[in-house]
Amino acid sequence: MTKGVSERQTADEIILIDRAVGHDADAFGQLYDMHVDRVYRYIIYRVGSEADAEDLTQQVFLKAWQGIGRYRRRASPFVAWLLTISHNLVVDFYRTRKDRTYLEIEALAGDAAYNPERAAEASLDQARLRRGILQLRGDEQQVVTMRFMEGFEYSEIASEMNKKEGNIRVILHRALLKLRAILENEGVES
Amino acid sequence: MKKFEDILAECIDDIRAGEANIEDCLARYPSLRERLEPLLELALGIRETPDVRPSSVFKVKARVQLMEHIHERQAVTKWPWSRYNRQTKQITLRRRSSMVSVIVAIVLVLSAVGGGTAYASQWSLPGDALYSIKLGTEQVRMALPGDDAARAERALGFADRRVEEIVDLAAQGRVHDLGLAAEKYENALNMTMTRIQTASAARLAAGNVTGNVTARVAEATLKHLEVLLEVFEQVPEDAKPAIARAMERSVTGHHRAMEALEEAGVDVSQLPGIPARVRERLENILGGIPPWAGPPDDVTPGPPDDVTPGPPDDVTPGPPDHVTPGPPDHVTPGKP
Repeated sequence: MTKGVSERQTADEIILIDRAVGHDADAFGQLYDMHVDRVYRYIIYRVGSEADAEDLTQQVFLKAWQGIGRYRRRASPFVAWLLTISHNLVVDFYRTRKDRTYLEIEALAGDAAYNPERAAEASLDQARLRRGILQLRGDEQQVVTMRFMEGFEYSEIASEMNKKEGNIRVILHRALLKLRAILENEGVES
Repeated sequence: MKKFEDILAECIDDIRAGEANIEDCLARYPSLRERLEPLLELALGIRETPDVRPSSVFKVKARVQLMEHIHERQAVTKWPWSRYNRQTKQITLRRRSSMVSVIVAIVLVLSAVGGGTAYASQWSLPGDALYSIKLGTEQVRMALPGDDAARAERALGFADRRVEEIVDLAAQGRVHDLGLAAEKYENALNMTMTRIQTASAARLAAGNVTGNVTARVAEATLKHLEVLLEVFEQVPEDAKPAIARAMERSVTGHHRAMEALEEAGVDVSQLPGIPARVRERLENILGGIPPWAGPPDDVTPGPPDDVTPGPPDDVTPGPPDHVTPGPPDHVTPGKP
């Protein structure tokens, strides 16, 4: 794991966070610079469309600014907080499109933005995995992506989700079982 | 006895850390082989998110919009200076309300040691006796810790202040002081661009932090231009040359910022430029839009011309009508 561990939250970033919590817009701007790529990457993986990912990324930082006064440093790094906001916005994004499932939106987006050409490592298997992950429940998706794709520790994920570490492992187990079933079904259907 | 989910998590972590392989884990828990193996293979097949990045244009535009939201404008009022004042004072108020306890303490200390002069200077205008002290406090702020990009942000904040001062002077009919105000505005913009140039040179490999500051200069100078144009239309004839000069500096600053962004690879055609109506009016006033004028002659912001440094002014409270903190206006949503 190379990303997301708490130790990577530098002293400089902690100072910026403290200033931002005091509503220092310049400091918040610098936090935006530090994390916008990661937030966008997290979101586009979940929504597929570049336009939607851009829109949601903007919303993440607006919401973060609106809530920054109540941000408290915790076991997880600041970026985990941003990714939790991202997760909630993605869930809302799909909720407001009740008539469509993840897969239908995927099909409409046609993987145009999130395609193997733009993400060279997105092999066929990874594309299948992604489709499977997108069919998991919200909390299951959050645990799988934060643990395996973003590299957060169980304790950090637990802190962000207001759950115990043991619960996170239970959710992870359940998510993997479901994912396996989804992929097996997909294999049978295709 | 360990729960299955704990064993699964332990095995995944060990394998990912390179401390074991799948066979090691299965050997450790032979009775769980059938349940563990497929889940381990699946979990280990999930890789980190592919490194897809947003476009530079999006990042710059989104940042500008974010900052615009943060410094959101109030409703437009008839007088440009009252609109401008309201914007800037609102921002200041927000910071003040969040720092009120610090401010109260600092005011007490400053008063005790004679810092009241520096305090009072913060509302002085060009031509006032205390104005040099105000500039001195800004120099102190420039010397506070921070990299060149952060200093560029501060200098841009000073340019905002200079526009506010021009607006205030015009509102008070102090025509003779507008020349000095325009000159100080130019100095602040030059200082901003110098810091950006230094930051760019130092951070070529460090992403587009500098580009973001530069984008804000491009945006801020457009706003300056619009406010100054409104002031221009409403001041007496003898005040117009100074305002015209300030507008010329805004245009130059805007051009320089856009050129710097272009050099950094940003598609500037996606960014807002000088609106057609403003451009048309400027051509009438200035006899044409001034072209890109090259780097400033005085690129090194030397010591202030008349400095009596006071304390950093970002910790000095506003006049009495602004120090009463209202309810915090940005604390509503907490943890999402």
